Amino acid sequence: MAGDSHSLQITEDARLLALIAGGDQRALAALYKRQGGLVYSLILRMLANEMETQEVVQDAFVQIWRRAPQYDPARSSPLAWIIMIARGLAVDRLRARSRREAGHAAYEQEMASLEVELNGALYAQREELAAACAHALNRLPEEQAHAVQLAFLRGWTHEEISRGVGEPLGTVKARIRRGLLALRKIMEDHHD
Amino acid sequence: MTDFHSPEDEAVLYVLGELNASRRKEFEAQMEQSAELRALVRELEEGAVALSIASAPRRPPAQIWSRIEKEVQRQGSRKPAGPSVWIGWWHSGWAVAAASLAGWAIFAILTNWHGSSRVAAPQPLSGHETQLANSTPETNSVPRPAITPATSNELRLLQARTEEVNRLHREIAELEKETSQLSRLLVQQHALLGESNRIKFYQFTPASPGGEPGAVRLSPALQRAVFLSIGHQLGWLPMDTAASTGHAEPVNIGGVDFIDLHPTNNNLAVQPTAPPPTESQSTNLPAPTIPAFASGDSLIVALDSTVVPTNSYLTFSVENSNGDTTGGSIYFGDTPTVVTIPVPAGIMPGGLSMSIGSWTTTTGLSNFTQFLLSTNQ
Repeated sequence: MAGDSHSLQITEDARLLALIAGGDQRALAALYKRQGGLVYSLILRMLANEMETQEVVQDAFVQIWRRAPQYDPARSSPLAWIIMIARGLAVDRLRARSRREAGHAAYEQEMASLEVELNGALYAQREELAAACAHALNRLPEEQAHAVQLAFLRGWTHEEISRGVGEPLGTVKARIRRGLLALRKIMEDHHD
Repeated sequence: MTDFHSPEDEAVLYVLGELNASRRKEFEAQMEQSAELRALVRELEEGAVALSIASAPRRPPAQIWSRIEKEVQRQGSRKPAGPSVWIGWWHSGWAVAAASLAGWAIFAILTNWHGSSRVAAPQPLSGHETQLANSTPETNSVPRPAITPATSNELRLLQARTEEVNRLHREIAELEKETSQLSRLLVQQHALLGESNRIKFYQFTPASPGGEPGAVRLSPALQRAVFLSIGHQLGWLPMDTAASTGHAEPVNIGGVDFIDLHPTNNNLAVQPTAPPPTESQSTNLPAPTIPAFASGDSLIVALDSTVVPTNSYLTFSVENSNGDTTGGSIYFGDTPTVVTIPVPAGIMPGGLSMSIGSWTTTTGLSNFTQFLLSTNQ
């Protein structure tokens, strides 16, 4: 069953993190083998720069190595914890770049590039779960999908998205929250 | 304006890392008290995981893991980042080189300082004093090596080498900058290749070894047909309904016939009256180079009498690098013609091959030639 397999995946990642916390370098290698591709794909999608992506992935796994003792399974799933570390480093890079003029033109440009990445030539190569997630993202109301992607993948603040899309801040906040919850629901359904 | 956020909004900001340190701390304290808030954060994080998984899969280069492994081994036991950086730096070859240079530099500064003070107070040390100074450092807070012709040469050599090292450092920095720019460009170009609405140009040349890619000039009529079809595709020319819905009848726009093959009607756009082709009746097509471009999931090919025989039936078969094939047939009179061939599985950037079978209505002779995608796109 997909649900059992998902639980096993979580358990295995959590087990590896516990070993890493104890200083086991082989566990770090195993974790990288399991999740390195996902982290790399995400960061490349965020930064669209190979060199920076390599640096961020390297920094992320070194941080995972050092911060593993702080991981709390009651707070986050292992994958969410890993992704949040890597994504945080990538957002730092994005924000260190020259500040964008968060106008409508920038909004359109960002959305076009995200669309290419989501539905581009590699779409067919996704595994079942990844395809389900991409499909789920495509099924979200367009404004919701845009807001979620800009916030999470491009590091745009709520205010910047509000300016870019020309809609009230409250609307944007609600869209991001609903979008993330809807994606989580779809993933949960997939595992069940 | 107040800076008020509901706990739900605050949870989103927390997950997205948009809270400053103090608000983050406050929110974490709130979470400790509220199981509901903890559950919401976890759900939002799982949504973010789903969004991350939706990224197109890419294989990370092997060197990333090598660097992580080195860094982790270098750090060994868990130590604060500061010292470990210095330890790592010290272990590298650069540190040794830098330390040697620093030693030389200190030596040079001290020597020069000593030299200049001697100019101010010309009281050269005797050989005995020099020996004494070097052998009894407690009598001199700073040891002062004597300046000999040999030392001067070494100093000049040191200066030259320092300049050389500085120059190399500058060159390395420049190269790193260029590499970074090239890498960025490469990633952007790669992304553009996958863009569905970008027009990509191709030139089909014969599969036979004798074929010279780009050796044949396109006829003016063919060039005009290509330009019109680009305008058509970009929406600069009005789109005729019949042409866009894939009807079999060609639509003539500005002296060019536009024919759309359709995914559901690819057998024959116009039914041929001639007999089916036979392998033995093969002759060469008049001209080997066919211009084409891809737009979205369609391949658009321009033909005229310089590349295919007039009054003939043409059967297209297109295969992409994934092995997906598609095609259809049309009747070609003597008007330059633009044919839109749908490629349902998408046009792969890796390559494309097309075969065109041609046979005439008058003689019934058939001609087959396979055209391969040229590297000159």
